[in-house]
Amino acid sequence: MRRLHGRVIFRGKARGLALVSPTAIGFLGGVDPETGIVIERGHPLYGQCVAGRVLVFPTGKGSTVGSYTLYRLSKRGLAPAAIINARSEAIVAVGAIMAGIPMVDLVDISQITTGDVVEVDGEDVVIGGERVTEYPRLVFVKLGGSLITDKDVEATARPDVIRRLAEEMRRALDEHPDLRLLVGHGSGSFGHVVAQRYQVQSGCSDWHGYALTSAAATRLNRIVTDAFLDAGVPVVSIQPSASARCREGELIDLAVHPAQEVLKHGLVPLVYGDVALDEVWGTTIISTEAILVYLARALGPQRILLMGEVEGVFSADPRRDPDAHLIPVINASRVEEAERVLGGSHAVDVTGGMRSKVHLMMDLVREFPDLRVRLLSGLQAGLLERALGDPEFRAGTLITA
Amino acid sequence: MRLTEEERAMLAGTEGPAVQKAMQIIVALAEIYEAVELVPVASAQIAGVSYKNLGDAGLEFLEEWAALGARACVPAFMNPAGMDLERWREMGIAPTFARQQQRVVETLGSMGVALTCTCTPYLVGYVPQAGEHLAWSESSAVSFANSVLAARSNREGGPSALAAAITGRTAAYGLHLSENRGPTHVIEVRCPVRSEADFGALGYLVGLQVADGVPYFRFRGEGSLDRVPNQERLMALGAAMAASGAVALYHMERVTPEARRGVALGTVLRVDDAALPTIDVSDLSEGYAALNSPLDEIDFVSLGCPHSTLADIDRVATLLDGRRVRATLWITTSRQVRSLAEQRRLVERIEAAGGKVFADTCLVVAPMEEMGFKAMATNSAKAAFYSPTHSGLERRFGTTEQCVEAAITGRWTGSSDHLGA
Repeated sequence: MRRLHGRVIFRGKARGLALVSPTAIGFLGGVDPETGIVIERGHPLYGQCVAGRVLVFPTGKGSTVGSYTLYRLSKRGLAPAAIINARSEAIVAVGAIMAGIPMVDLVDISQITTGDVVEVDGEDVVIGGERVTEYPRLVFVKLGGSLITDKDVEATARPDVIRRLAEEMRRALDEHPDLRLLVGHGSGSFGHVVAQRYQVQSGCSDWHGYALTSAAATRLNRIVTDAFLDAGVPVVSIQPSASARCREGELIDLAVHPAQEVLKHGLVPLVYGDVALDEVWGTTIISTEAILVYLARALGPQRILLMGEVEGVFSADPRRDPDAHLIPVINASRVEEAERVLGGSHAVDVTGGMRSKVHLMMDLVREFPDLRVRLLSGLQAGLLERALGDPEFRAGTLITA
Repeated sequence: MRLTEEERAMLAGTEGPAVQKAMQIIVALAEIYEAVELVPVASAQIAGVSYKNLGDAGLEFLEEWAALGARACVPAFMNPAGMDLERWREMGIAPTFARQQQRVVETLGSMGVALTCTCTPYLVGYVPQAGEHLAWSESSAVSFANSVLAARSNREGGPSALAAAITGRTAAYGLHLSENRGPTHVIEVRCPVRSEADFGALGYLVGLQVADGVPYFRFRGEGSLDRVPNQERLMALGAAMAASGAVALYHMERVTPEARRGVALGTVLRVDDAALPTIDVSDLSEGYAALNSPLDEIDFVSLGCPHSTLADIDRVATLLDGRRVRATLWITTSRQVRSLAEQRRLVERIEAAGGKVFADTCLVVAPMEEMGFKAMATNSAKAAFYSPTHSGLERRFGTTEQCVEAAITGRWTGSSDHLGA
């Protein structure tokens, strides 16, 4: 956690994920007041949405009428959560005051990177602090690709499993009205096979593969969406590849506000492992876990449930080794121990198997020590429902700080 | 920064939320510009009146601020709007635009801002005194007020000018302070500068080089002035310099008040002993070349940027007598000057020739890109500078005579380098 101090332009308190521009931003004509998207051609942030972000840039530019653009964005709920400048000028300062957006300047903006959790409070800027927690009871649920599809047969779902899990979620939501869910699913034998065929995960030479993989992932998502809606779970599908930006396989930017808004209205955002554009490689694959980790930083769930085919993390592959036993707890601080036990899934899995998923979760709980991640079997009827209803419910493997 | 008790009270909200918001804006700007105090202003010129620039975003804000009780407490007046408020249909303005534009004007009116809609407030009854502090926002008007009338104003932004009108104050920085009014560059003009267009070309060239500095003009040798430049020439010079650069104050040896007195009201104008960078201007052709596109056919002629004076309109009426225009000819001016011109039957003569005299607007802030013109001619260096980007219009730039001739024949005659009218 780092602290910086600036000069108050408009005093207030706000938190969000940083969106950093190395060059000046001119709001009039540079940002669409109806969508919050940067529309200035050639701008480093072109195509990105400023809504809800802590917007960090050297200074403003352009017409003084640009102040009104900031005001309009705020009327539509699309304004940045806060603004940080290296050195302020009149247009952005006046706009922030008109719109009531917390703003500081005289800050060394080289200290902030896109994606950092940043809080502005008066003249203080805190980077990497506690995440935003809007919901006292927000749980992320991941449905593994190997759980909801037959991993051995291309493009084959398991509708009975999907339906049962949807019904368990419906019952949990009925029982606990304050429960909020965000669901993600892997693409199993829909996406992985096609992705592997074209090597999408590390930049495919035939971009046709990108299109086919995207379609496959979406095809499974359609099945999941329809099944959940049929069961009465109000999911809204949010396509990750529509906003994801990656660099060498790492997810560096993803739109958060659609999920944020959907949650506000009591619906269930539904994301999924997807293709993504990569600034260096061209194309890549982003795993459901990577997406959930990114969203967790912004939305602050208390728990993440990773539903898979197996009961949890085992000391060895339980399908091959009869002596393999379930590990009840992985302490993220005890790294070597964790390393020893992580084997791979037995089918094709382009996102790197169990090991990388657990690593991602371990990093996340180190960053947010009060977050609990649990790996559970989705094949055992009733486990999901119980886990959703009872935060203390013990089964599978817990990953904690 | 020091605030008076009254200012602190405004900031705390004792005069209501509208004043509080206005004071927050003024105080924040004072911080940014490192002013140590605020200064009361004698008047405020409100920019951001044209709906083309303001948009629904700005209109929304104005309406809310007005509803909160925002009112000007010093004389305040409007910059040009996006259309002639009465004759907008003749301009080809869409009714949807007109409706929104009317709302802007009404909202500002309800806040006590006078319906002047001109960049020449000094011609319509708002004449600042020397040394008076102002919150003006239109670049050519600011230049004129500072340089020709020796008043003191920075170029305020749209919202900040309105905030200044509501609080009666602005931040005391920049040209409000004597120490910032001295020259930064000496301009030695050695070529003849004989027409408004010449002064415009000169302004364009100097603005590019000086940016936001304070030029001091000396006319020497072949450039020596045969007479004191009239207000139209000074308006053309100032407008061009403010557009190509950001010049808000200039001095002209033996012409402008601060230069004539050798003082910038409190500070002696040090020119010779100050070793200032000198810019020699011995040829205006570069200016004319930059402001001219290679056009032969002209379908639109625009005069009046800054807004035409009565003398300008008189001259055009004379040039048009007994003739008819082939191209669209618009002369833009303030409604007050148009009224005078109507009384003298100048407008009648111009419109008998097929020209139009429009008030309240100009081509820089009207939605010209929707009018369907292809090739413009203008006598304004400022308009010629802005029109390709602001209006999507390529243009010819030259004297009033050349422009009227182009309106009549539909063709531009004369080269790009002008040799004095």
